[in-house]
Amino acid sequence: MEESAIQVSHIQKKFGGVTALEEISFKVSKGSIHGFLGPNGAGKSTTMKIITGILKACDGSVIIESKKPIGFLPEHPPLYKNMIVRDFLEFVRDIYKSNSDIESILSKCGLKHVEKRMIRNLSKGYQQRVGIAQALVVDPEIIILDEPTVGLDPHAIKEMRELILSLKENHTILFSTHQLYEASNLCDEVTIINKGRILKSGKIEDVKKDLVSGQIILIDLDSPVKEDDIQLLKSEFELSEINCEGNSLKITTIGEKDIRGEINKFLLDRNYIVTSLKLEEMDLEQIFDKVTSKLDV
Amino acid sequence: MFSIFKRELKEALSSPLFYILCAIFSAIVGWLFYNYILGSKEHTGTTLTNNVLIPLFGVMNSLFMFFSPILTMNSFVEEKNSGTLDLLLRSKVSIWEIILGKFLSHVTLISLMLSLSIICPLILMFSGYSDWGIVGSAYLGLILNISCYIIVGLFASSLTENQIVSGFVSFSIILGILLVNLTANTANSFIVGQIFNYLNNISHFSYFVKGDIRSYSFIYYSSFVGLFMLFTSKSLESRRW
Repeated sequence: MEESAIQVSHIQKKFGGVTALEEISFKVSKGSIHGFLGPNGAGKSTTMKIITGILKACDGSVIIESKKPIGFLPEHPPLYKNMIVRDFLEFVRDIYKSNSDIESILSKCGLKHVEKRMIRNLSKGYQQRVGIAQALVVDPEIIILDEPTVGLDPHAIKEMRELILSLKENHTILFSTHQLYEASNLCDEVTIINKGRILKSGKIEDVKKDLVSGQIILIDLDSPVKEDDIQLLKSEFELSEINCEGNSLKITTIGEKDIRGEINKFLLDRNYIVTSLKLEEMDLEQIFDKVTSKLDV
Repeated sequence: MFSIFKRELKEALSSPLFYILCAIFSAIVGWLFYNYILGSKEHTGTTLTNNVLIPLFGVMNSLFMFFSPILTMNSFVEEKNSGTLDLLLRSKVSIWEIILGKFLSHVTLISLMLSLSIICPLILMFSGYSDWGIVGSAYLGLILNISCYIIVGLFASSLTENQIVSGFVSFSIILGILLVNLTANTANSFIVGQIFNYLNNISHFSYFVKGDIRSYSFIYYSSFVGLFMLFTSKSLESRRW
């Protein structure tokens, strides 16, 4: 079994009478990038604040397998805007009593050329980098980033993504996002949360596998499929869905069995020329839609 | 704690607010000093201490009833709004060190402001004034008394996320404590009067201004500051609930 860096068990949080988190449990494996996915207001930030100790949970426990402090970048980076970048990082290092090397953190975060500038005069992208730098200055083993790419331009998002990936070597990273594309590119593990409840948690492939029952097969043909043949397909194979658009066909199967060969044969027997036949992987976007809609019902 | 003290002081000294308050303070104190000196010529058989310095120190104290809320109203409010309070609370610096660092930096600021007024007794010195014991005790009283206003201001700014509300709350508390003075003066019972007298800072300050330093005044000021530090720490801790 993989060693976990963070173990959250049965956390419950209420604000007044409103339940923000309902008995949530998940774990983050050591050395992984763990994506925390959910729409706005799902409870991501609250969970992160509980893990970092900013908020107290009403019930449940959080076990952190690290003696070092957690590096935390909240949604709005905590910055003293009237300080210059280097002074700010030195201040954070002092209050966390860490021995981290400011010089290497400045270069890692691409801040070397702005180190003498006042934080308030930096662009949002650079302020976000200073935010990441303050999380690294505490010399953490675990880094928690709350929506690190929100409000950044595409170029800055790309750089931020590269920065997160470069941190993976020595750190365990938990980061929240509602951009699923980002998570599917970066993460080893994901936890999907909605309305204060965990919907799925685990390795990204396992989560996909659990949620995607059956295969989605995309077929391109030389001519449109006749209605009779579609009915025949439905009766001969176990299909949950079949969509026909022009010359292409999208088939969703039931069960794990790979029926691509059989379908190919079926179509060839009926004189269709198959120009392409491929398996479509369901991306997180679709998984997310599927899972959240299930919960809403 | 020293890091927080240093950061706070540096930030306050780089903001125009401190210098604006210094200018207003010097102008009012200088103008009143000049008027008190002129007025003192009318009186005979009394001292410069009674005619000029005691009223002047009283005015300085009253000025800081307004200046302290202005200086402190943003203290925790700004930290809360920018998220840096959580950064501090998660650090290895304790809540008490955070409060103490901020408190001492503000006390240093008001001491710097007060030092501008030393010119007044210095001018008197050139015309033969030599009662430096009273001047020293009055400044000590001022610093202790204004420390109370500062800690009330810090407490008020820990309560809210709006600096205007914070300023009003701290001014209201300071005014409330001042009203204890009136109650003390009008109390029918001697014991009740004495208790109210002990509870309000103005009576303790009035001893210091006269050069009459009483040990229980130190106990009063330290327990006042300690109590409001406790309130502030509880108010900050409650953010985690």
